Amino acid sequence: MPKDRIHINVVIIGHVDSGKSTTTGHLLYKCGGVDPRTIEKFEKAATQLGKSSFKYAWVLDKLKAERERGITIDISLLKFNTHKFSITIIDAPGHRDFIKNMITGTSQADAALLIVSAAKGEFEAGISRNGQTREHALLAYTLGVKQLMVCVNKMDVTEPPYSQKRFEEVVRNVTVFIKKIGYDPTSVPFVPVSGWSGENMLAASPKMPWFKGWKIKRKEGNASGKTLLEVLDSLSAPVRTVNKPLRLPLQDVYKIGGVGTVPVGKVETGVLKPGMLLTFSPAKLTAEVKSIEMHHQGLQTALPGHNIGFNIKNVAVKNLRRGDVAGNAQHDPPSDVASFIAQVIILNHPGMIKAGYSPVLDCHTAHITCRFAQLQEKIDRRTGKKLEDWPQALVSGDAATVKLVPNKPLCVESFFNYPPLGRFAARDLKQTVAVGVIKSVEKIDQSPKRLAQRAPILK
Amino acid sequence: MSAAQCLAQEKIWFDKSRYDEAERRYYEGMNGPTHAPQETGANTILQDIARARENIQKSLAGNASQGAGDQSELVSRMRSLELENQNLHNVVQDLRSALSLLESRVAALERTPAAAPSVQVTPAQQPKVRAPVEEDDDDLDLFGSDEEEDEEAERIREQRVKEYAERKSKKPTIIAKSSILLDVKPWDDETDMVKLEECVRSVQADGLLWGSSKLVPVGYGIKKLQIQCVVEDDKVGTDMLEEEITKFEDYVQSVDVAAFNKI
Repeated sequence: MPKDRIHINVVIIGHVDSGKSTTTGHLLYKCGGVDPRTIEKFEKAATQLGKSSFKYAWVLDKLKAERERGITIDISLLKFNTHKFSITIIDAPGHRDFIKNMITGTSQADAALLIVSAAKGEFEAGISRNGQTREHALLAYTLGVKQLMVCVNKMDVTEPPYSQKRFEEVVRNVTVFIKKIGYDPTSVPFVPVSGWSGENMLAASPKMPWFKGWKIKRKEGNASGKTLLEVLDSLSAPVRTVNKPLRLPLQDVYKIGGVGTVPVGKVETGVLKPGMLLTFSPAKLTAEVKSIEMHHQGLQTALPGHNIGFNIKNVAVKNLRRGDVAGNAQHDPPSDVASFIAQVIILNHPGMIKAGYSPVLDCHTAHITCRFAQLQEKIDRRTGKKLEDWPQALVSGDAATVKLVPNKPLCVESFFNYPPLGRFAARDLKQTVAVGVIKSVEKIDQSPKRLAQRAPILK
Repeated sequence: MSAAQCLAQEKIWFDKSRYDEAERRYYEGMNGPTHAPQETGANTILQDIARARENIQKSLAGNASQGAGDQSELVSRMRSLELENQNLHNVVQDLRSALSLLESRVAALERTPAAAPSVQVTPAQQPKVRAPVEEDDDDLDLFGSDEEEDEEAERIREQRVKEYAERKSKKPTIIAKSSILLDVKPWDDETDMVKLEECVRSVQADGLLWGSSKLVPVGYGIKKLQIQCVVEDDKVGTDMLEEEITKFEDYVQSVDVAAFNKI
């Protein structure tokens, strides 16, 4: 087994009653995501209480109770290992602030696992129009989560149990559903499982002999298998963005006695090395990197995903702030933008959004008010086709191409070039009113040459 | 200038009245037959106006009781209107009582959801109750109207409703909670992290529970506080947490959400 597993983030989406907690719990439990001592403790207790037949469910329940008390940090970071990957699970909550976190948060999803219940009535309710499932699935697609997997759960409670007919019916419906969002169904694996009893989770289930396995076609190659674990292992590793120019949005800036100025942030693309000359935008400063540290250890090369601190020469703390972006001064240095064209989806707005609307945008670590300067086109959310030129107003559910103008210096990039710097959430009235991806930017100190790039989310 | 010339250039129409007369007669003759009904129509209108004026004057004078023939007509009309109004009132009251009956019935049914008969009745009634809710949720629907067949939609709704009722009876109150892991960052390596944690934990709210925490090394001697909290989805938001924590600006530089999961 490879020791250095590739790290990957998987967001789990599904209706409240789809059994997604049970299913993720099962994976965590069986794949080393839960501290063995904790499991042992609970298993012993279960046996003592005469619940050994329900041991698994009982342990899960206990773990949930433990999480509810917030006692252990480790079980709030849902991590487990498969053969190839070290997977961090994001179990999507229904919380209204989650969407913003999905966009600007530190852990971006590389793949999405949709869990639907095959139980009678639950499937129909889960995928219904008002469901969060649709919202989350659409957001995942819009935000560039290209890999989707589907788990048809609760096969143990279909009528009759482990019904092939029911599985096929659910698959048919989900296929339509994901197609509408924009996913290609032939690249999406469907697995019938029972998160409760563990059928088809880690090993092929003898209870569903009719299931011949899942097959998918992807650019990166075809894959097939029978279990959910195999599905996870079939994921394509996230594309390394090492070869791109450096982009590092600052989270914090420290002043350390005897060292000097230390900015901290996560490398999103490219690499950072001591001796490199950096440009900070919109601060418009240039400085040389003296050293890099991660977890108090010196580092010679910082790669994408690394959360690092680095020491720079001759820059005062007060000249840098959260939201500034660092890049290589010699290789496509970052620049602040005069305006940018973005594709937005209006999620929750009680009224009409017209030109001039100015919500606060959260993009990477920046937090800046931006004006909807022009509503250029209203478009179809799924196909990206134009519906209307220069719409007068937008309402919840609309998708549109909009020109935005920041009211303070801001550095953002097109989603196509630097995905983490090209997606944002617009916040107003204490909620996420819109989400968007940036199609092109008009840089202030360079000629606006980047207008030809279109984000790949438009098929 | 001679007198003849004068007369030839005469610009005054001496006998205009005669021509006018002739013209008037001519047109009168021509329009004679059609004239009559118009005049009567006009007359009645005029009469009406006069009557109305009279009435107004009378009512202004305060002796409306001395009704003329027309007034009695009005009174009778008013009476019929009043009667109609009363009828309508009765109808509304009937509807109201019917509605309250229905309401009480629904309430009774809701109180005993597990009872066998209710399961049969609810499907019939729920759709009515749910319909407006569905419409309200449309603004959240990111997919527009789907071109589902009526039959299919109906079937789905039926099943959904059944499931809904079932679920409601099974677990009436599940409070949605999330587990949030926050990174709280100090200003430098000399910030008192114990005090910082005290400040963070002093943030109190309904539906907010602080869990365990630990200090995570960042680099150059800086440590960040990683702290766990459990929130009720409807009561506590991340914005509020960030806002409240960054208020301790002597200790806190920034707050980030490190993990956000459903419980």
